[in-house]
Amino acid sequence: MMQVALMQVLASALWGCDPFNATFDDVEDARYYEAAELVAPGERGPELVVMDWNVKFGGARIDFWFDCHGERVIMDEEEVLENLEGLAMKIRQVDPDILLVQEIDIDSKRVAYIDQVQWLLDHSDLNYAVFASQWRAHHVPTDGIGRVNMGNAILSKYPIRDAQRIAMPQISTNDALTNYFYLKRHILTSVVEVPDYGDLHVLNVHTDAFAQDGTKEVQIDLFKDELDRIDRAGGVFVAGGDLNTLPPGSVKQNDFPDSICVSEDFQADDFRQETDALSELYAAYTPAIALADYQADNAPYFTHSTQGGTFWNRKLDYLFTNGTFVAGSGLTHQDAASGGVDTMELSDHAPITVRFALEAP
Amino acid sequence: MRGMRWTMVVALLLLVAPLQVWAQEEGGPGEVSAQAATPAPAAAPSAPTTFVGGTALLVEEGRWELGLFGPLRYGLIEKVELATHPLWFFVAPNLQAKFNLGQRGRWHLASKAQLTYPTPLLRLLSREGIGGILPSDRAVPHLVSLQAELLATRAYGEHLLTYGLGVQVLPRVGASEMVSIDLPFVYPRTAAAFGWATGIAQVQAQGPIYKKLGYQADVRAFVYPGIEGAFAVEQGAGLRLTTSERFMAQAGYRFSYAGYPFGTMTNIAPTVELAWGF
Repeated sequence: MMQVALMQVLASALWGCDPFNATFDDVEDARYYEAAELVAPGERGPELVVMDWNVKFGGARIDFWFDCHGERVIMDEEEVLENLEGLAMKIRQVDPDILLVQEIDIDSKRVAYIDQVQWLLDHSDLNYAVFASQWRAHHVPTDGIGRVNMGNAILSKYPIRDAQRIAMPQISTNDALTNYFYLKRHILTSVVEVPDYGDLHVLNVHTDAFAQDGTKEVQIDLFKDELDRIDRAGGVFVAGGDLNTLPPGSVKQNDFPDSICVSEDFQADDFRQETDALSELYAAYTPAIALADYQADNAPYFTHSTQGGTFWNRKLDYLFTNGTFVAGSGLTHQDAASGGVDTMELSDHAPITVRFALEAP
Repeated sequence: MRGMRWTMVVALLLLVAPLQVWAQEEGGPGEVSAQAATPAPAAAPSAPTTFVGGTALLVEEGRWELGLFGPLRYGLIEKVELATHPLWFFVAPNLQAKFNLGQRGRWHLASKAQLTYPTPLLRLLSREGIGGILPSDRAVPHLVSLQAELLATRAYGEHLLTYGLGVQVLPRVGASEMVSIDLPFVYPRTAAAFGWATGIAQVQAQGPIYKKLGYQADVRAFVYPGIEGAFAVEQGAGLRLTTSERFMAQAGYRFSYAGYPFGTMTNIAPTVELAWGF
C-alpha cells in the first residue's frame, strides 16, 4: 500500500513542469460565477455602494499558524459555515452593489472545500462574480495545507464581463521551489455593466505581505499602471483591495502589539521603508478615505489586526476611483459605532465602503 | 448500515480464509484439500514463477525477490510466500503473506493478507514546515491496515491473467483528529480510515512480447462507500525487461481517476521498478 502510494506521489512531482497545477499565464481569463437564484436589484439612486473586504477565507478570528498566534491549519465545515454566516450578515447589512473580496477560497482543504464565492452569492443579494486564484495547488506539501485555491473576487449585482487575471511578479528572494508553491499575486480586472450608466471598470488587488525585496512596491506600481491605462483610454474605474502597506503620513509604522512572528519569512509589519509606497496613487486618484482625514487622525480608519484581542491598529485596505466618490461617504466598518456591526470577530480585516457617484462618464 | 455490515463480514471471511484452507490442506480428518478436489489437468503448461508478485503464483520455496520500490518477497514453503516493504518497514511496519490455495482447472488460486501499521509514518508526515503532509495540530491515532485479497491466475502459455478481489479495513485506536490525505494513489488506500472498509478489485496481465521484453498491465478499482469520493479507478501498464531469473526492470505509467472530498480528479504518473531475484 505505502510503496505504491508514496512512489506515485514522488513520480507525480516529476511528471511535467506543473504537476500540482500551481502556475499561471501572464494574462488569463478569470472564473465566472452566477448566484443560484438571481435577485432583481431594487430601486437605485444615482450612486453605487462599493465595498472592499479581506475576508481571511472565512477564518474569522481563529489563530492560524501563519499569524504566529496559534497552530490551526484546517477548519471543520461547521466552523467555516458559521464564519461565512458572519461575513454574509455584514454584507447583507451593507447591501453593496459591488464587493471586492480578498483571500476567498473556492477549493481548499482548510475550508472543507466550500466554494466561498458561490456561497456568498447564494447568501446575499449579489448576483454575479468573477474570481482569480492567488494561491493554487493540488497539494501544498508544507504545514499540512494540502489542496488550496484562494484568490480575489469581485461580486456584483450587475453582470460582469472581460474579467482577467493579470499576473504580478513574485518575491525574488524565494527559491524556485518555494515560489512554485507560494502565493502568486495578480490584478483582477473586470467590467461591470451598470444599468442606465454603462461600463464601470472594477479592479481588485492584494499585494505581497511578506516581501522584503521591493516586490510589493513593484506590484503597487503595476497596479497603478493598469489604472493609468484605463484612465488614459477614457474608462472609469473603481479599484482597491488589500495593498499591505500604510498610507503616507501614518504615525505608527512598526512594532505593532499583535506582530509576534519571529520567522524572517513572516515579517509583514515594519513599514518604515515604504512610507511613500502609495503617494502616487493618492496623488493621481480619489481615495475612499481622504488622505487629509486619515492624516488628521489615523485610528478611525485602521482596517487590520492579526489577533482578535487587539483592536484594529493599521490601515491596509483601500478603494480608489478616477470618477467621483460621494464626498465624506467613505466608511471603515470597525465596530457597531462605525458601521453598525462589530466586525472584529468576522475577519482580521475590517471592511470599507464608499458611495460611487454615477455621473456621466 | 446493512451494506457496511456485509462488507465487514466479507472482510472477516477474506482474512480468515487463507488460514482455513491452509489448515485443510494440512490434512485435517475428513477434509478434502482444495487442490485434491479438482486436480489440475495433466497437460496444463507450467506457469512462470519469477517476478510474478501481483498474481496468484508464489515465489519458489527458498527464493528471494527484492524490488527497488517493491517488496522483499521470500518463498517460505511451497504454499506460503512472505513479503515486506523494506523501504517503509521502519516507519510503517508491514508484513504480507500469500497462501497458495491450489488449482481449480487452469486457475491458480491464492489469498493474500497484509498487515500494516502506518501510524509512525503518518505522524512523521504530520508536521510544521516542508514535508508537512498532515497538519501538526491534528492527532494521528493508532491505525492498523488489514487487507485481504483473493487472487485467481490463469496461464495462457507464458502469459498470465489475474483477477483479484479484496477488502481493506483500517481500524483506529484512540481519539482521532486526523484529516484525509487528498492525493491520487494515496487517498484510495487510506480512505478506509474514515469509514468501514474499502473494496478492491483488479485485473492484471503480464507476459512476454519478444525475447526478454515483456509487458505488465492492470486495472484496479477501489470503492469506499460512505466515504467522500466513494471510488477510484487506476490503470497502469509498463514494459518489462527480464534479463534472467535474477533481474527485471520495468518502466511505464499509472493513471488514476478518483473521487475525493473536493470532487473527481484525473492524474497520470510515470512508474519505474527494478527487481532482483536470488
